[in-house]
Amino acid sequence: MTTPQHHARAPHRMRLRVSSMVFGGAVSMATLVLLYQGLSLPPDTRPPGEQLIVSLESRLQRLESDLQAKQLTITEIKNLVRQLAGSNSRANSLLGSQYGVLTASKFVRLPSPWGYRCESGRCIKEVNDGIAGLVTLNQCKLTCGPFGVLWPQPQTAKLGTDVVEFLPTNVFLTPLITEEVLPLLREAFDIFKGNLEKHHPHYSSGSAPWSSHWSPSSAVHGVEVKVQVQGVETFLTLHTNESYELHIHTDGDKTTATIIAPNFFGARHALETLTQLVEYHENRGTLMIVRTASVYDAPAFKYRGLLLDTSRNFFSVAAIERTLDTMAANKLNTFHWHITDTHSFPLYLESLPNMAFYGAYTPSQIYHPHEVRHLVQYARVRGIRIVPELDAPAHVGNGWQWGETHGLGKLAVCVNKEPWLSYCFQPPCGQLNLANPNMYTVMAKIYKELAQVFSPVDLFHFGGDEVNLNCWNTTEEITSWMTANNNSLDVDAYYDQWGVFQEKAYQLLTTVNKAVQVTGILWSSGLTGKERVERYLSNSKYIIQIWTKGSDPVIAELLRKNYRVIFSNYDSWYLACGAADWMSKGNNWCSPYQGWHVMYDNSPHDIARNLTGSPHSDLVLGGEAALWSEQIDEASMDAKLWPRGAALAERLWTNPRTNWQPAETRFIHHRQRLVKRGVQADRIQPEWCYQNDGACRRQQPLLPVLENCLP
Amino acid sequence: MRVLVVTTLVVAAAAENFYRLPSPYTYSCKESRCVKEERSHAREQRSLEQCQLTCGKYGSLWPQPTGDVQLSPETVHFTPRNMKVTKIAASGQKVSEMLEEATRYFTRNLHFLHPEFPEEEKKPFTEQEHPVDNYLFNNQYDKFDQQQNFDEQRPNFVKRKSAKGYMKYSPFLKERNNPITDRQNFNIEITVTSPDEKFTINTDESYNLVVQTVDDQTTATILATTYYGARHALESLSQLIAYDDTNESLQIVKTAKIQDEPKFKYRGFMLDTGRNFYPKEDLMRLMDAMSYNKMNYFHWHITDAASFPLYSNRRPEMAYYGSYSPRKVYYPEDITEIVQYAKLRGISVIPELDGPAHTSAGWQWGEKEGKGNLVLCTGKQDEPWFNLGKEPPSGQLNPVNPEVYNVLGELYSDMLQYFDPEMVHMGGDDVSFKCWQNSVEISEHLAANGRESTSREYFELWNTYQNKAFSQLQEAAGQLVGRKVTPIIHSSSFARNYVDKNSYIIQVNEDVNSTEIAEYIKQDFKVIFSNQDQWRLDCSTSTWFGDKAKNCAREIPTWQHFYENSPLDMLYNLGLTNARTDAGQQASGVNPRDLVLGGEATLWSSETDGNGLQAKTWPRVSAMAERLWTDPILPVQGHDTAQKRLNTHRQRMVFRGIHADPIQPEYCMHDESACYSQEQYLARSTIPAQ
Repeated sequence: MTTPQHHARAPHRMRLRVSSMVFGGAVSMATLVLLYQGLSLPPDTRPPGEQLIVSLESRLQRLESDLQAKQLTITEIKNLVRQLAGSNSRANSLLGSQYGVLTASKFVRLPSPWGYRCESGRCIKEVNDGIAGLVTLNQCKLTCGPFGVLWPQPQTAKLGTDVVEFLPTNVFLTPLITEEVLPLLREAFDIFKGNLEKHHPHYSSGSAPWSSHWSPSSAVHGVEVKVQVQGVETFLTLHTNESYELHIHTDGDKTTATIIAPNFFGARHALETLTQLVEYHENRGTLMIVRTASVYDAPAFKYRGLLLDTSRNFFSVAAIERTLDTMAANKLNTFHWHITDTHSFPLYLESLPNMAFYGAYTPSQIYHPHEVRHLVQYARVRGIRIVPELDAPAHVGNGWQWGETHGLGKLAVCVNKEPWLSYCFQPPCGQLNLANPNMYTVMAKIYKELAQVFSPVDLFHFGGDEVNLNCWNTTEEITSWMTANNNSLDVDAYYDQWGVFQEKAYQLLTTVNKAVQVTGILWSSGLTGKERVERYLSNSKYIIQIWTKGSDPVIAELLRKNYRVIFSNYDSWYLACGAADWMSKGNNWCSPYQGWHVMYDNSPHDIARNLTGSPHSDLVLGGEAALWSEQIDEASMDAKLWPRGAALAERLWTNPRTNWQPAETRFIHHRQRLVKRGVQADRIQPEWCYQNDGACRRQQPLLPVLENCLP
Repeated sequence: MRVLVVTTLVVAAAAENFYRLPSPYTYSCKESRCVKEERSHAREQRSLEQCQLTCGKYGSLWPQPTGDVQLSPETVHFTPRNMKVTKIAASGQKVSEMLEEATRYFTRNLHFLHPEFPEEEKKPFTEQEHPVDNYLFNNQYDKFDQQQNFDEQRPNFVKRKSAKGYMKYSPFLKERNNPITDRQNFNIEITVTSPDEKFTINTDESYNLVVQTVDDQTTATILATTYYGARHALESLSQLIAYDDTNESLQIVKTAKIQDEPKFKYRGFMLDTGRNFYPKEDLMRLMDAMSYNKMNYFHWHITDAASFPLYSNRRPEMAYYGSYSPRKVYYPEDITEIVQYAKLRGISVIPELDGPAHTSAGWQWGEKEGKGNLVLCTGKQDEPWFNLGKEPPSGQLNPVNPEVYNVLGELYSDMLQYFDPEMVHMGGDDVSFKCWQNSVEISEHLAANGRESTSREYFELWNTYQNKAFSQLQEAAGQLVGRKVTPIIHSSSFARNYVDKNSYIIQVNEDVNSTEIAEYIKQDFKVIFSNQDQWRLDCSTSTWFGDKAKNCAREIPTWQHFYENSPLDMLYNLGLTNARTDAGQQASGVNPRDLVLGGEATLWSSETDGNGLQAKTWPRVSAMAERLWTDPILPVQGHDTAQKRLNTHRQRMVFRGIHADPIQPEYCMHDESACYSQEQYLARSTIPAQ
């Protein structure tokens, strides 16, 4: 079984195949597959004609057995089709044409006149004359170029050029692993099988109509997935080794995929890679897998993240699940959940129900503890840790209003205070009340529940951005507290108190986490600035997430002082930029929109090297793309996140020396894959570019241009 | 002590069933804006939705009506089960049928307002989606008025078991009885005076809508000249209705009066299905969304150089060679269905066959079938695309091959048959003289006729093409639909200098306030505004042909740009100062205002397919829809409610299954006075509030 070849046949005899298709698991419709197309074309231009499909009403089904595998003449076929088409107007109108026959309303397929061949890593589209051994686009892409359509690009890969057909029903798992890991692996394997189903163009809600008249060899071909894992790790940490090996070989009617990984997380990545060595075979109605392959792979960065802000606008659990699925498809491993902000507090806490009662937009826009636990587990099976963020001491407000009426005093100050321009960076305002000890009691309760529902917490994000000192300094309760404690009311004094707050917060979290210290992450801010960072923040406790521009000298400063850093420099990795400003005409603050090219080319090591002369690969843990949600909610999130998030993923997994250009064709195919998996990823090019590899490039014009020739 | 009791209640109840608790907030209308406040126990609670429906002169109506509007500050609750159409008076059977269909669609959209209606079941309203034995009509002349055993006789008690389409999923049809909402009956009465069921540019789209409530009877009365006005009235009526969380029912403004008609006749949207393909369902959803904004023309840029997805019975080769895949083809049945779907939503479809540029895919078969080169510059002669045209793939029709015109005639015939259009768009954009300059065939043709290879001659070639194509189109129109069709062509120096102002409509793509715009008006061309820097939707992403340069140099147009771009103000700025008045007409006796048919937003699909379409389009095009329907004078005197109404309208579109982008955090809807910019703050503090 290799590539489909042109079948030599007598010029006037055609092979006829009949198959039935199932639609949505309910409607069965006879589908006549016949070699009809090209009947009146000269022999040398006739396509192999595997796929002229006439889909017919169910009343025609009874004819199926008569037709199967018969050799018929052109006239016989034409008459037959006329008979089958009956009064169907479309069928009849098409009968007069040489370009195909099709009927019925639902499923329509003309044959394609095109085929593809691989030439220096590109799939070249040509008229299929049936002689040149052209293959379908999917098959060409799967095996063309050193990395086929693998995304992110593995460190090394050797892929065979042949494929073998199989059905997803004949795929099975052989686990050679420890007891502890088995449940995770079984679940990951189910996801893997689910993703195989999604290759089918008629996939819908959980299953695909795999029914056709396959060749006997593809119907019986088995795929065994052998997974060898030694380790017992079931939680991802910054020390987890995510590497894997994957070997595919095919012998007779069996393909074996062997996965060797030090732990579950590497094995999971290998399963994702294996899915990407499979594609749907349009002409056969089967899957196909690369016959032989060998992949050695490991990520370049430990922290490969995506941030979602669920406070400015709410996102349903289903939308978060879909995002985790897509992260897994890109081997991203950290979901940074910016749960709360001043706008809303959508998290339900058992010990503090008032937070969500006052803070949720509506009673239905709330995450309940069981949903959070579910998401943590959902992510883990997909190789992802969830990093919860409780932003503080700024970016708090709605949800904190109940303190006074409940005898705890003001927990937060400046909440929804007007005019907002004076007290915060965007409406509504709000900042924790440093003067109120009850605030810390409440914080402790929140941390405790967070530590429980997100257990085990590997990393915790304390927020710490955009503190507005004027808010505190215009609040009488705070100023008198400052004065009473012999503090002055200048900037340094407030920074000191912010530093104290941060230290207390860290201790509170440690206490509720059974005295186990958790590595904290903080946004870069005034507190992490050159003069202050060492005074307030220990580099063994905190990782700094950089969100200023990639040219910010503070990056060099932090690296020199041995702080571990995560890059989210907004000039490349903020996904919400290039939209309308949400308060005035014009574009938002971080415009313009950054395309996938920019996201791909943003290299943390290069940034570090440019600023310090060294890539600081020990301190640069990785990067994260941020989706702030002022102007985004789940109605449109997918297109903002994807496929650009995939560009980030390859930068962080592979960290290629090259820029986006060699990745382009793989990237476009990967985007198609994400769409098949149910993600509304944006298009980046006309489909024409997908079918004509490398043709959509601009180079310098070679000829002088006639002046003013464009009217 | 009281505080403590309340606390306990909150916590206890929370443990039981948290989200059935009432919200701690109430909303009050202050200076036309809804403001969130903590509820004091003495005051009546007002939900956000109730406030949105009734706050400000125009409530949550979008686009803002142009005539008299009166909305009462109260709402009444009802369940869609108790809604029925009690009167349809029309002077033609066809119009009656269309109205019935429109009310079914209206009803379905109300069911979508329930927050628990499953998102994935919000599909286009096709035959599978709406059962013909709709309870709405079965009980038209009903038993309700005299009934005693109310519950058992309620039709849905029986119907529910056999519910089809969307009704299977509607939580409204599953709910238990609620005495508050069950009591209220909601009747709709529609009167349409004209039997005319076909939409044209001169169709009267005005309507009158009155909602009255007397005790437990709420009646909406619609009066319109045409079906199309009545359809708009139903849309406005739906915007007087919102979900009511407290009673799990709907609520409608208790009494209301709306008089309305559009300021511009042409309120269009263009979608390019040539660069990327959109399945039929995506187009139907687009028609849905356009109708929610009372837009009335869908300009369908079907084909381009990249693909030819239009199936032509006369020339099946076109789609055979030109479609991306056999699955990505619009067949005649699909087109008929889309055109009919659009028509019921008050939308007329304008098909486009672009030429002579933007052609390549689908035209490859000429030589093989002995018809010579139909298309030139397809890059096959080792010439890179950028030497031949504006973008890959390059290609331009061969104006000196007579076979081209025969094929065009066949394609026009099929188009006219499938679409029966009022207007046809003939393209005419981005014609590249570089292509003809590089073509041996053209050079030889010019030389043989003693002509030189100059820009001037290329314009003449283009003119030859345009005239022949025009004749083919009108000939086909005469044969197939027995009338002329109005062609539209993109603006260009060619259009200004060569085409006939009495035959063509010009689609003006120039940037805002470009002086060329005034030229068309001074020459008495009828125009449609499509300023590419204001009303073009695709300029938001990076470029697609392989370099990092931004697609569009200026900032991306936001909803405010779409809103504020005013054709008449532009003419005024260009010196045509009579554009906003009746006085001082042009030499020809025409008022410039009457030459502006309206406007159109465009979405070129290089970087868009069905996945990105909705968020890129909505709510920005909604903003344009209000510009074209209402033409508000800026700056707005008094309270500018556009942003808050747009927030609500966007949310409504999302409820109806349209994935529109939000324009603000949800917080800004809960406190409509909170999210202001520095400029707005300064303006607010210097100008006393009215």
